[in-house]
Amino acid sequence: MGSQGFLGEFEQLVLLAVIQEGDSAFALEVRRMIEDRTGRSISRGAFYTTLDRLERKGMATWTQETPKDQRRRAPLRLYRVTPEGLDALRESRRALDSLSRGLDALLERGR
Amino acid sequence: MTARPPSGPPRLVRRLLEWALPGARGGAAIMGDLDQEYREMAATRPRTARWWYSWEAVKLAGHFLFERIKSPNSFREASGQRKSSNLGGLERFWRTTRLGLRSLLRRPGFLTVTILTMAVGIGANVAIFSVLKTVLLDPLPYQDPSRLLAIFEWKPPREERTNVANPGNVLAWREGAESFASISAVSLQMPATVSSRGSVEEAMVQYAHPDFFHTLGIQAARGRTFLVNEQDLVEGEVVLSHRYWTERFRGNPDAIGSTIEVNGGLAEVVGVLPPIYIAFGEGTALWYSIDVFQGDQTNSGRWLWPVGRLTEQATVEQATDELDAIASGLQSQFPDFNGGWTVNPVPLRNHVVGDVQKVLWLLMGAVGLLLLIASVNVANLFLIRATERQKEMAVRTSLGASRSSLAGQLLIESLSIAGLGAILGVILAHAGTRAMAVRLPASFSLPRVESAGVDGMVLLVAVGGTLITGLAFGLVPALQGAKTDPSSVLNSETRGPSRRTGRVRNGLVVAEVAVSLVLLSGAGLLGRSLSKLLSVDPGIEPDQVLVGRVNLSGSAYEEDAAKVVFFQGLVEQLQARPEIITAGGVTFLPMDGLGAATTFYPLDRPPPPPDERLAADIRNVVGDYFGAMGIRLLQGRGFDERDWPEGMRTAVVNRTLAEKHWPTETALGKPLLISWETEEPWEIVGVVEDVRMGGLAEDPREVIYLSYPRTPYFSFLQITARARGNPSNLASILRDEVRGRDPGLPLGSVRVMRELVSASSAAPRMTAFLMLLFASAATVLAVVGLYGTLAYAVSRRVREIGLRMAIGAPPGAILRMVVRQGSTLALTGILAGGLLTLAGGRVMASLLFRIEPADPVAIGGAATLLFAVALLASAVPAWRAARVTPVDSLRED
Repeated sequence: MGSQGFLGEFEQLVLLAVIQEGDSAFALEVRRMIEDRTGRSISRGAFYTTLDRLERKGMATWTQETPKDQRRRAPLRLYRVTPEGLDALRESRRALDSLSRGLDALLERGR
Repeated sequence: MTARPPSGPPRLVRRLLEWALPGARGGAAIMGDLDQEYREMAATRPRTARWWYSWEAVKLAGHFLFERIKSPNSFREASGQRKSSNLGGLERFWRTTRLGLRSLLRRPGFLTVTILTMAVGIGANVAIFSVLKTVLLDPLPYQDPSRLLAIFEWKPPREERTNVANPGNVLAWREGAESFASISAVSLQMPATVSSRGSVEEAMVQYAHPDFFHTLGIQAARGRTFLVNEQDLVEGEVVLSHRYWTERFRGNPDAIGSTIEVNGGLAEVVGVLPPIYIAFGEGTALWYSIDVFQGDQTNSGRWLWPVGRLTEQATVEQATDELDAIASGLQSQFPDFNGGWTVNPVPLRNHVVGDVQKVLWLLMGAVGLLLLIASVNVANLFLIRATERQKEMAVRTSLGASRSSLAGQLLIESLSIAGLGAILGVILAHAGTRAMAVRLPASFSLPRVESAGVDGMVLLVAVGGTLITGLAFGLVPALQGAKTDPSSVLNSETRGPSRRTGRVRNGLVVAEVAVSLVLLSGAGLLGRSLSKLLSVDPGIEPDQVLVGRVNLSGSAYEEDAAKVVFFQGLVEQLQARPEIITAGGVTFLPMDGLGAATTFYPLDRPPPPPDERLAADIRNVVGDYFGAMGIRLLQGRGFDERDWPEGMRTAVVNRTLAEKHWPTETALGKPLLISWETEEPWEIVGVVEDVRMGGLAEDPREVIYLSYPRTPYFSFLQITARARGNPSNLASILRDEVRGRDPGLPLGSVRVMRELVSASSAAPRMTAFLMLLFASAATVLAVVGLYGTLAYAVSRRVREIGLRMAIGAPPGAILRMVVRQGSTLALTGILAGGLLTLAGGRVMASLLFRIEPADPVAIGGAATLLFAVALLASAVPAWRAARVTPVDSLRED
């Protein structure tokens, strides 16, 4: 496939949360943000698998950071969304928008 | 660095997670995240945090393991491992394992059925065998237990071969028998009033000769057992049972050395027995040391359990001969008392395990058969699967897969199944053993069963056996596959199963059905026997009856008159209560295990020689015992005031006694001579219905009832009250009335009579239940096997069936064809199983009550049931076959 195709819903959520967290987009924080904002409980396994997949697709990348919490000896990954990831998000958004056109009344009412 | 937190996440779980997570750096980061969350939670709720961590870690580990099996490549890339076509040995092994596991996961039905089958087989076997080993095979917890003999007296032809012995006779053996290093004895269990630390209660006591524990070779768990002193005997010492010590003294070590009062006499507690103690006294609270052989020994009745320890050189035969010689001397020395009485020495172990032996071996046989079926089923499932995959294997071989890697994968698959089955089996075995250790003692007197745990050796054998089975059945198809030429499989037009494996599979199914029928018939026989047992008229009406024991101890009741006054008064007061219909008392309750018996003969004919005199149970009753217990009066009258005065010698006998000695005339008015204190005759004034004294399964014995006011030889009575409503409500009334007459007297062993009757059928009920459980499991397994075989056969014949349909065969004909195949297999199995049952039924004969091992109802019922289930099992694949269309058969290619 030439383009990376559409993003899954969960992938979109993860990418968006990474962008929102900005300089503190550590896995732990990203997951908590998704749980807080969506009110859903996120399976740890699915979450890490999705991060891995996004990384493999080249939509997210990470750098190793030194933990501030001194008790933590394990490495910490700070995630960042790549330009490809941003493109994919935009494309998904565009597709969603174009399909939702004219349906505002219906979709808004659900709120 | 700050200090380490008090306790980290559970280490074992953490290790598991570490192993399960993808390698390289990604896994470490995930671990770090979880650890961090754990620390945050542990700061406030450390306990919850540990549970939370374990749960989350297990979920994560499961997720990643599953991911790894599903798509191994992505993980290798993600974790930065190099992808190489040049695989190392270990790498290749993992690859094969993954392939194997993935192919298993694709068939969850096969996986589940196989694993469950193995688990049930292993679990049931290990559990039953662990119990059997603990109860039957492990040596008794005594020093050199094989040299211990329990020595009973026996008066042939009585059924009771394990009668208690007379102290004088035991003393004669003790002094005369040289095969024994020592012979000692302990009394029957007796209720006693025990006061310690200011509280009074009733407890079961046994009087033991001071060298009793020494003869058994048992050490005290705390303190010591009785002092053995050749010169002068130390009396008045008390050894507590472990249970009484923990319950009454709360396990306080200070109890040793303290002084307690037993039946008004002071005694010093010198020790506590270990928790596991077996010999003649289940439920005994304490042992009191006295010289049981002192005083006038002739004619003082039989009330001792003797036990002897053989010398190093002596054999059981020598000892028996020696005892026989002494016993015949005693017969001629005291013809009236010992006439006809012989000695019956039994290895202590045999006596301890008793009848339970047969039941346990029967259950062991049942679960052994179950394991057989399970193995056959697993073999069958593997065979089906192997045939199913012949084509897959052929394709892969022709695509260049090495045969060794294919064989390896098959092996890994079968070993994984066996391994998972074994793990689940171990869990089942553990749960089963625990359940039996807790539940069984209520039904059987199973010595030591409480201490039963899964036996390591047994477990090893069972799990090893399963792994070998897995290996064998994994290897067979692997070897077969390696031999087959792929082109022959791929070219084969017909996809029907090869005739040879088909025959093997059918044979296996027939065997399964046969063995299930054996088990089902066994369960049927036990069930029928149980229903016959439960329909036996106990001779009493136990509902609404409450019983409780009152033991008159202390100086106030030394005079017989005082005992009589107390009990008569108590019963009268109870009868006056509005909640009570009527009340009475008796020395020994029916179905309670204890009793008194002596010899007698009718005086209206010439007296038989002493050794031909028969024994009868003696029960001394007060008040309206017959009415309260619901024992029907058949002729004459029960006891009343007329029987109280001095000199009145009246007796009531049961139907069996009356009909045996006066078959054609009435027993009323006939005189009886009872070897009981004096040799004056007793006149029969009434005949009552038989009561099953020894339990429902036992034939009625001859019983003589005497009026307690005339025969107050025992200082305790079982007070029996019939309630207007729920008998349990009477307990407090009974207690109050006893306290009202004497505040120092405890009411002991209060029970609802119904419980005693139920308890007497508890063992057969439990046996039948367990047998039914195993038989059901076997049937389910056999039916699964039958279903699997038929379903497989149908799936292989879709093409043929489609063709038949295309040329005009009606669906009904197809349906019949498959059902016929199933019912032929089932019938063959049932026939074989029926023959097996008839041949092997004898082993069950001794466990059956009023039913033949070849009972046609039980076996026929089992066969019908099995056949019906088998038909159902064939109906499903048959129905599927009938719905095959010609199009399906085309699609098959």
